[in-house]
Amino acid sequence: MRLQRDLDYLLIAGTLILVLFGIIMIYSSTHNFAYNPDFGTYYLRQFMWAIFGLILMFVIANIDYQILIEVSHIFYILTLVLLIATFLFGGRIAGAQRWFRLGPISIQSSEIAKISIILMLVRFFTDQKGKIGIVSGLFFAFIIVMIPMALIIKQPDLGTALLFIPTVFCMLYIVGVRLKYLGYILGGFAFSFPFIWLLLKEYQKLRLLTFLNPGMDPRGAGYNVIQSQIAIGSGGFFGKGLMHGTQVQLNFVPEHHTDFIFAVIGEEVGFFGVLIILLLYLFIIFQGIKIVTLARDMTGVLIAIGITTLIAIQTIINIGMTMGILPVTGIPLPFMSYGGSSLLTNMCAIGILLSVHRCSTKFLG
Amino acid sequence: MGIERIHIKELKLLPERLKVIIVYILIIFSILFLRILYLQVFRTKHFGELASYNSVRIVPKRAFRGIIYDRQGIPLVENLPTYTVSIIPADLTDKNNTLNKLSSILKVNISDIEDKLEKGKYHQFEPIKIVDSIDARLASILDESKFELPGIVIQLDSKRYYPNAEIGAHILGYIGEVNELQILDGEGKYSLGDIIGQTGVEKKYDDILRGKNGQIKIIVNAIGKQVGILEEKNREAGSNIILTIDSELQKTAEEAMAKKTGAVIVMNPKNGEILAYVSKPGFNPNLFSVRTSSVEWQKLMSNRERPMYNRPIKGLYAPGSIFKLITVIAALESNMCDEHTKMTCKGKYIYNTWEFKCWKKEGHGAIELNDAIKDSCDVYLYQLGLKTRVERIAKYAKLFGFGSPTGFALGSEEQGIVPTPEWKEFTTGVFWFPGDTMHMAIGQGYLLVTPMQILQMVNVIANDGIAYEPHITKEKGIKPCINVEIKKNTFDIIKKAMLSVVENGTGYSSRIPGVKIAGKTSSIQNPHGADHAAFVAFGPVEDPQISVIVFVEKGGKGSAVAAPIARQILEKYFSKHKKEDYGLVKKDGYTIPFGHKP
Repeated sequence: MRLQRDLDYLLIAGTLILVLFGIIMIYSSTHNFAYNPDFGTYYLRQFMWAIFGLILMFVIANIDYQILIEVSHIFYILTLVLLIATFLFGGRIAGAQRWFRLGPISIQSSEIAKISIILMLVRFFTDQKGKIGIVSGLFFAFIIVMIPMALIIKQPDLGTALLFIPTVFCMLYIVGVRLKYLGYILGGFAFSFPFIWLLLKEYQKLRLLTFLNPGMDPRGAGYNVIQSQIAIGSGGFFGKGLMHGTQVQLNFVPEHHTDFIFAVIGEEVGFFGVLIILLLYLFIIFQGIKIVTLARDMTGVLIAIGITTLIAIQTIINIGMTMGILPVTGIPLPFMSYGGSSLLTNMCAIGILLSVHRCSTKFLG
Repeated sequence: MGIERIHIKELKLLPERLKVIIVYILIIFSILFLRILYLQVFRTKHFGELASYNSVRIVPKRAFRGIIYDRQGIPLVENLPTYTVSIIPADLTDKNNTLNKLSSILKVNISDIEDKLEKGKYHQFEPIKIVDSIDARLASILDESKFELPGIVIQLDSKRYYPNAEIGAHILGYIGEVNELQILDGEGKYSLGDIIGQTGVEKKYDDILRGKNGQIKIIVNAIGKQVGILEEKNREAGSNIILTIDSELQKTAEEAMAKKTGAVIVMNPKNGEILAYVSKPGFNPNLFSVRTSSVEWQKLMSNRERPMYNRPIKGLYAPGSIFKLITVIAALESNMCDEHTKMTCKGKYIYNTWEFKCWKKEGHGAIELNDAIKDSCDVYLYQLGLKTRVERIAKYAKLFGFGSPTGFALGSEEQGIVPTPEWKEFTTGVFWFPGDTMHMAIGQGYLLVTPMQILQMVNVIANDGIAYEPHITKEKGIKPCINVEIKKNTFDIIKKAMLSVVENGTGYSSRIPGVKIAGKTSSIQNPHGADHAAFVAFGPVEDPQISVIVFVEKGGKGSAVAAPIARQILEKYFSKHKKEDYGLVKKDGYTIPFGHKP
């Protein structure tokens, strides 16, 4: 098979290194499966998802992004159906209805929503031909985001829902919406916050409150953050070695293979390992920004900035929460946290970026 | 295509706004970087310590307390093996479920467990004792289900068992869990859940008896499951203690005092060793060795006879006729009378217009000093007291130890009152009347003494002027704590009189054949009911080996109630020790030293 020449191989390489590193860390944190007999299969499952994700990524990369936008409203409606189905028939995990079973696999509908909302917004803005009016533009954009967002908050998955605010904000900013109007949007979210607060479950409120003082309740909402900070902090310069992090191996860090995978990295590979991971994320983000600058039309620009912001925001929120400077929201670390839905969604997102890159460079050439 | 392409040139603001986004992303990643630097480089030592605390639990292994023996080596207390159940709060991952199961297995209230957890809330990683003294059967049931009960620790411990129950309870005292105040006062000596002596010998010699706790450092995982042992430090048992108590004599004294309220002290006047020490009613110290239900505790505390009250050193009473000995000594020493001074008793004595009665209505007639003591004539003593004056009586009372603590360190002592005219004016604002002197001369009125003080006075007489500090463990180089330098003749007169009290006076019922016993009775007027009955004795008069005080609250006549009790004790003593020396149990020709470890 000949290597396809029009792909951004730097972006692919960065992504695959993170995915592989993630699988290693998942293996390290679950190799002792005394706590959970299922643990033994986690790294294999993640590996299979990664293979599947890689295939999807290449397939999407070779679809023109214009076509993706063309069918985006179908995606969007399917997403809404899936969200409602999850709401009605979804399986409960840890008190939250986030999963929808489809045959042998469970789908985390909020993950899929991340991409379809971005694509739908791009389609809407492109239809407006770059002239976005206050009522016709911003209001409908608001509606497009708010319907799935409300369903996701209701699941409840506050973290994922709140991801859309900075993502949409960045897209509007890039499109050229005047700062005055952006101020209105922020005001609008601020205004709706009390209503969002009402939608929140007690534990979510508690999480937001204990974020300010994790020491308040060591076994309660602040426990996770304290434990993950202890794990990261005790890792030191070089870490305790793979499979030798006491906090992780003795199960002090909760959800260490999913949301708190960064704590495992911090404890077992130390400061230098963490630094490399951080630089890899930064590298992927700058590859995304490079694609924004390469894009030949507003659709490409909007897709690229939306996807790049989405990946950046997820990374920042997850790492920030693991280190105790942002609230615990249950956002997985892109490419590294265990979980098929998240991994596939993020690899598809990279596929879309690759598509924008491919089409843009082809345009030139 | 349905979607119109918008040329990139329409996005005029793009380069500028993209720069802003890049700057923000760099700023945010710098913050993340700084946070990582802070956690992993600057604070790594701190978090490393926290990490090791996280997984290491220190479970103390409580030391076994030393055994307390009587003077013949009979154990007065034992340690029985038992199990304790503790909770490490940090490992209580499934609190409701665990507490529910625990409470149904152990039959304790969840609220009681929660109270204990609340008290230990600042000790998240230390085991907090929930229940002690469960038997092996319950312990094995718990042990089997320990995987369903994360955070629960079951340990082999010991239970303090007092085989003689109530007998000697006020000597031995009892043990209990250290309270918050004691932890503070101990300045690091105690830690939460420690069992320490709360009264009596258990408290006084706690530092010797307690031993050193060991500890096990256990590695646990996040759900509190033990995954290994890091380090084990063995416990050191406490040292044993040998008391001067003779448990047979103690038993005799307790049985003689059965169902009575009061105090008995038996001493060796030659060295101050206490052979028996009874405070009635007593309590069962075993009650405190296990969790005492609040009902039992309430019952003990609300008992109107006050079983926890240490009467020999805390009970304050008027001494009654026994005090006449002091009045006589004061009179003899100040030459106010001699052996042959005669006075007449007509059953009452009239001072001005006031009438002071003798206990014997028909009177004693004209009697000499010896008969006045022997028959405990009040009228003789009224006159002698007036003649001698209150100041002198008070002076000798103080010389013989009244009004100050005896130095017996098993609990805080009362020191009583020896009244003087100044004292009365100061405290009541009323002048001292001659009547007060007369009351004082017969041991009534404002005088307040403890049974221990009375016995010390008796010891001074028995030893011709010397008494030793009362003590309960063998101590070397005992020095006299009271030394009264008065005429030998005075002691001879008093001893002779006390001998006749037993031979043919009010103390007749304490007579035992073959041994010359000196004694004195008291029947103390009690405004709250029947008279208190008291009797003191020592013997043999030639070479005193034993001194006794029997004090029966509301007992009635000293001659009829207290003297027969004293006789039982003296009989027991002299049946065991004809005339031979009475020392501690001999081992290689030397007495077993205090604090000896077997």
